[in-house]
Amino acid sequence: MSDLLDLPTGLRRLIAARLGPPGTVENLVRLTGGATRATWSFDARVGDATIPLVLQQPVPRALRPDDPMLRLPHVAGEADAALVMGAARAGVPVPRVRLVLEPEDDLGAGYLADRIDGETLGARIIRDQRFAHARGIMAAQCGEILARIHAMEPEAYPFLVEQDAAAEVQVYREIWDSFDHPQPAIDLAFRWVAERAPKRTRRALVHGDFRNGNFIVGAEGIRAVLDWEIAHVGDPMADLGWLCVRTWRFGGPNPVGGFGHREDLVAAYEQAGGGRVDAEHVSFWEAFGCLKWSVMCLMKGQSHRRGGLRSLEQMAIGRRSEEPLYDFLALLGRRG
Amino acid sequence: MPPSRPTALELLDVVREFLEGDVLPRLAADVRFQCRIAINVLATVRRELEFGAASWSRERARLAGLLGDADPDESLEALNRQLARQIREGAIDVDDPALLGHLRRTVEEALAINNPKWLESSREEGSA
Repeated sequence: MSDLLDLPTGLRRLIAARLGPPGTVENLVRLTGGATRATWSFDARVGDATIPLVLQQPVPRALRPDDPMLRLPHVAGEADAALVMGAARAGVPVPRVRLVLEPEDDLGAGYLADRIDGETLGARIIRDQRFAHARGIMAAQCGEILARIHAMEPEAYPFLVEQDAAAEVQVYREIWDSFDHPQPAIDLAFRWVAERAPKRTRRALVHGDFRNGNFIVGAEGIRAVLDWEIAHVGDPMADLGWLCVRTWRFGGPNPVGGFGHREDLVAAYEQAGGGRVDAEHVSFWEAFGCLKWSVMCLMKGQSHRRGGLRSLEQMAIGRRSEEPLYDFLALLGRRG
Repeated sequence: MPPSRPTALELLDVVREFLEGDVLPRLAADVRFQCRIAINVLATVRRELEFGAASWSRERARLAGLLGDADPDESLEALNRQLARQIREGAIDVDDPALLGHLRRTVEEALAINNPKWLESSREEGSA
């Protein structure tokens, strides 16, 4: 992987050769430093035009070969680009992929996509006056977008792993077990989801992290769906449940991402051909989503103990694991 | 030796005041975000110092009650390990109101340290 010093040179060569000269790179900054990939933002000069772009680069995961986290879906680099391009063909709003890096580009794996203006921070989307109109229509937009994602042909993406609810419960259970950190509430939650995991559901392409915070939003609504790294083949209702997990409401009053109503999400999903939605089925995935996020918080909070990332932000997230656990117990109280 | 002065809580308070009043306003946006996290972490540590011991002792008492024959000298972690094992092995009824009540209270007490706002906003929301 290139470091910051030779990245501008490599990018200029790449753009001049594949998009057109002069390929000058300006305003290069690193955006979010995710655990699984790096995102760079810059402007490229091609002819007389200035094109706002992002470079998505996968970051190798430093995990021991027996780490159960290796069983989480992981779509990166070329596969990520293929999925985003397929989503665009399916009518899903995504950043346009400009080019996929080739070995001779000398920039490692990854791809260039158009940089879309807009807000991604969930809390701002929930609170800012400028998104008032967007908030009113986003639940329906989510329903329509999800119906399109779930209509994508899973076989066109042979790199996707297949995980039904029971398999996913098992993966998270193994991650949880590897912590050796007794918390009876989490064990109770695992028993609950294991006993209720839906069987023989519809099989579809699942985004996996479809939620407020992974959308680029403008005043008119959702401009793009980001973060396809944990996409897989599974039960499509997983995406509807995850979108409603309280954590992703960012303090907003409404159940769908903090901005919208379940009825609008479901009506738009069904109308766009997503199929009939059973509320209890979605609520299983919302409850399991709470459990998954609780386990993920613990995972982030102790990755430094496994020789992984040691960061203030990650360790602070470790202390948030009781939030979704509390929400899980509240859901359980309402469902019985 | 009596506890040293200033106390740990007083020290945390003054560090927090320093970060909020003197450091935060001078920082660029990306580091300011990190500094806010640091301030929140200090607040969590402060609440844990203040309420942790009492909260863990209540948890211990509830666990001993639930487990019945538990050794009174067992550590909190050992008691939790025992209850977790019973839940996993199906040796305890997961719908048992006493069990659920204990787990809810335990999670609530942890939130009172880690993020009390989570409890407040859920009360405001009612059943949402």
